[in-house]
Amino acid sequence: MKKGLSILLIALVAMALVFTGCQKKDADATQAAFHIGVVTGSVSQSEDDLRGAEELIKLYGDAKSGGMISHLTYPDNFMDQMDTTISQILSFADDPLCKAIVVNQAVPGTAEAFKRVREKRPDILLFAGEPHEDPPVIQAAADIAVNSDFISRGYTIIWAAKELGAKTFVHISFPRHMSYETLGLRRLIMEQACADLGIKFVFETAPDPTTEVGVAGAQQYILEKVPQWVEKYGKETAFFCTNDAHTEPLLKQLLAFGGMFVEADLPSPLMGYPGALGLDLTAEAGDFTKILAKVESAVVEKGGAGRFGTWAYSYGFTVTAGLGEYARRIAAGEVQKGDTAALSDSFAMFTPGAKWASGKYINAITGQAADNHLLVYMDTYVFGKGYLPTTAQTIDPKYYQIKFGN
Amino acid sequence: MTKRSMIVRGALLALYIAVGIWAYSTGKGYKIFVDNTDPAVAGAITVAIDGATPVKVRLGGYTGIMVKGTGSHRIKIMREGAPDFIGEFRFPPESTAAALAVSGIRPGSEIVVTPVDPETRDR
Amino acid sequence: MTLKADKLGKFLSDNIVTVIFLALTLVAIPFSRLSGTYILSNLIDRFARSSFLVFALILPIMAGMGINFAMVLGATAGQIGLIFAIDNNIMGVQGLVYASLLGMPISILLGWFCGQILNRARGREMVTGFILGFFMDGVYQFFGLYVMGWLIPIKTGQVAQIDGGGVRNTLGLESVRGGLDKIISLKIGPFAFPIVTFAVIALLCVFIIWFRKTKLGQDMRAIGQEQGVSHSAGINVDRTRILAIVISTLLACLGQIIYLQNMGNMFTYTSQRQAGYFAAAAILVGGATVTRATIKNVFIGVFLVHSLYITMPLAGKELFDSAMIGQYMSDFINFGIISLALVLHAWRNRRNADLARAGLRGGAALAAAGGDK
Repeated sequence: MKKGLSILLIALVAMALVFTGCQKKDADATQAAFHIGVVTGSVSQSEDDLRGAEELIKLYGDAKSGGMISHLTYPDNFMDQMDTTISQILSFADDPLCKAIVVNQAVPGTAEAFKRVREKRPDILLFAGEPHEDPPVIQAAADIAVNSDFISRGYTIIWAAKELGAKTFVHISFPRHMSYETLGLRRLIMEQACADLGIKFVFETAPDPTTEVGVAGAQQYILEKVPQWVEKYGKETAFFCTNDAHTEPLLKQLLAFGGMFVEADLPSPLMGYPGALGLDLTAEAGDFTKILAKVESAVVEKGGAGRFGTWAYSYGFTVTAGLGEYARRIAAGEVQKGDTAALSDSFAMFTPGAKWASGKYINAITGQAADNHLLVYMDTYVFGKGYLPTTAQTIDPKYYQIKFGN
Repeated sequence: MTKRSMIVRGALLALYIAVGIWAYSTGKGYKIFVDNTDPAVAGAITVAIDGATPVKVRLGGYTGIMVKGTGSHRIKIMREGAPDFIGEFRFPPESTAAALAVSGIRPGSEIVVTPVDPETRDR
Repeated sequence: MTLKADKLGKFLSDNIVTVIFLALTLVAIPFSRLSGTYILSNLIDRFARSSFLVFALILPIMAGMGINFAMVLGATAGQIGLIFAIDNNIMGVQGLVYASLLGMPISILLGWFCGQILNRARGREMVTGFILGFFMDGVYQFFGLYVMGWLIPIKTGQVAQIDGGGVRNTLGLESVRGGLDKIISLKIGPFAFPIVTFAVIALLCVFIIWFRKTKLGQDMRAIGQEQGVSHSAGINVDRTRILAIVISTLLACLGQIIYLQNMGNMFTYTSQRQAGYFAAAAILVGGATVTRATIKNVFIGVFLVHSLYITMPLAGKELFDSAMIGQYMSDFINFGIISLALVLHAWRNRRNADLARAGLRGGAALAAAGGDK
């Protein structure tokens, strides 16, 4: 009995070794000069990120059939399965043609996987989109990390609100969110920007959807409160909320009772608007130009022209596709690693009409700027009006000095 | 409990405490900030202490590196277009963090390491 | 029916879980398109990482207590030790020793507590242990989020949450990363062998072989066979069972520390949960049953489960042309196998009972053909 098992095990090892040889053989057909590994969440976890990878495959072909992109997903319950995340990312290092790895979102385990890839293959470029790990951790491991720019947007959202003609800015959130460094700091910056631009800043508290009131309770609260807020602060008021679940009811009531909305926390035409307007976008899935057109006509129809904004394209989609494109350009020798203008350009390729800007991440404690951690944001699109030149604004450096402490 | 088992247990307890003290005293990490702030030095440098993974220090900046235990440490400084520098420094006892200015390194003399307050510069 | 075919049938039915797993892995390897070097070097790494944890399950199985899902308690103790090692800034192997020294007393205490409860839940040890794991989750969160930070001050910002109360959700273990693995790392071609980690695992094997021969080890095996008889033979059944759990919890504590120093990253509140699932899957796949487990089962199991973990997501992607489905496949197969192993165990128990009864009736022919009923 023991013998039988050991024979089978030896067979397993032998198979593994035999296939080392086989694998080399099918590598000679028509092949791209190099491969780019892309890791995203699955449809159930973060659909937009995955669609970005599919867009890359559409453009440059699947590595399996001679193209350039090989795509994997990290587990849905990535908080429990760091092992799997690491080995998924590490498996790209096994492909001798692999020249770059893009992980969006860079869930916990990415930094460790990057370290292991680097030990084996120091030539592979390692890009992290929207890292979940602490900035110093991912900065030490990745070639480039990209976050949505919570600092600059603290100013640009207020600037855009003023452009729309707002007199008051209402910031809706709750204590749990305000304890996050990114969200808490942005609120402080918004407050300062409001003071500088002559807008009244108001903080309103709404229930946290992850507590016992649930999403339904939190949304109900927003539905009931918004008409009162509009009456209290006037129609020339821009609203902003930090929680995705609050966005939909907020938009619905603002469209009905007046008020303004610059952009959501993670802006996308798909964020809040389809639900608030009752739109069915199944036919347009993945095509952001069509989605934007459909949402726009519905907003204008409800009288929201010039009062409602968004980012015209999904952030997650663009980060996956943009980082992949940037990696391709570096690997093909078209641009240099570290060329941030080329990065913005790669992002803009997937967002025709809109521009991107990027700034360096600045450590809140030491004030040191990190060379390889970029914070990006794009132009705000106002329905019925077009793009605002958000990325062309110069931001007073003092906003970057504001510190978040408890 | 017999006398013998008392002794055995006492010895085990003593061993337990002794190993704990050993681990704590020899394993305690200290932070050394490597400063690369001298304008006379051109460009970024790469630093490896005690054979650990090399870390980049950009020009005009500093990087905090953890070292194990006070006492003597070996530092290797690599710079493009120049030969590697290998030297030793002593971590100042009774401090938790210290700074080492690359510009202050003179061949032949001891490397100057000054204690600093880690709160003023973190990470 | 020839004797040979009969033997094969019995071999298959006794090792069906292992055989299925092996077959799946053999199918998955070519489809994953991974190179043999990659698979093997990954296997060596993962072997060093997780086999210690799986050994924690052997003793309770020997003592007839089934799979000790309560090993999660030990893993938790190991994590508490690591939290303090990181917070006190103790690096390298010393940090791991320090974490073990702190974790061991905690795990002994938890193991004793767990043994007391399992003695009161005789016959339902597995499900009780499972629930105890969840109970411990709550206690641990209370400790990590409330006790730490308010009663026990946290010294470093690396460990404390941004508002100062409680331990961070993810803890970087940079200072002890590879603390054991990298003391001596032997490079042979593309493979790196963490010699010290392997030595520790070998030492543990020797310990277990030795332990089986001691009086206590013999007692445990006797209890595993029949508690009543053992009791009348003068063995202190309750005490021996508690000891089995205490040792298991202690090993789980050390195993989790070894696992985490390899991972280099710890999810403070969820890492320990994985320990139980993985170890159970590995030992069952390795051919152990709920009543019988050997060192060989541990090695085969760790080897096979990891082979599947490495290859299945990529093979699934290749087969179904979707990165996601490969991911779902490996989860589904893994947990499917655990269920299969447990169901098979119940079925085999009944079959053996039937056979024994048939044997008593003198139905030797039926007994001989029992394998393919």
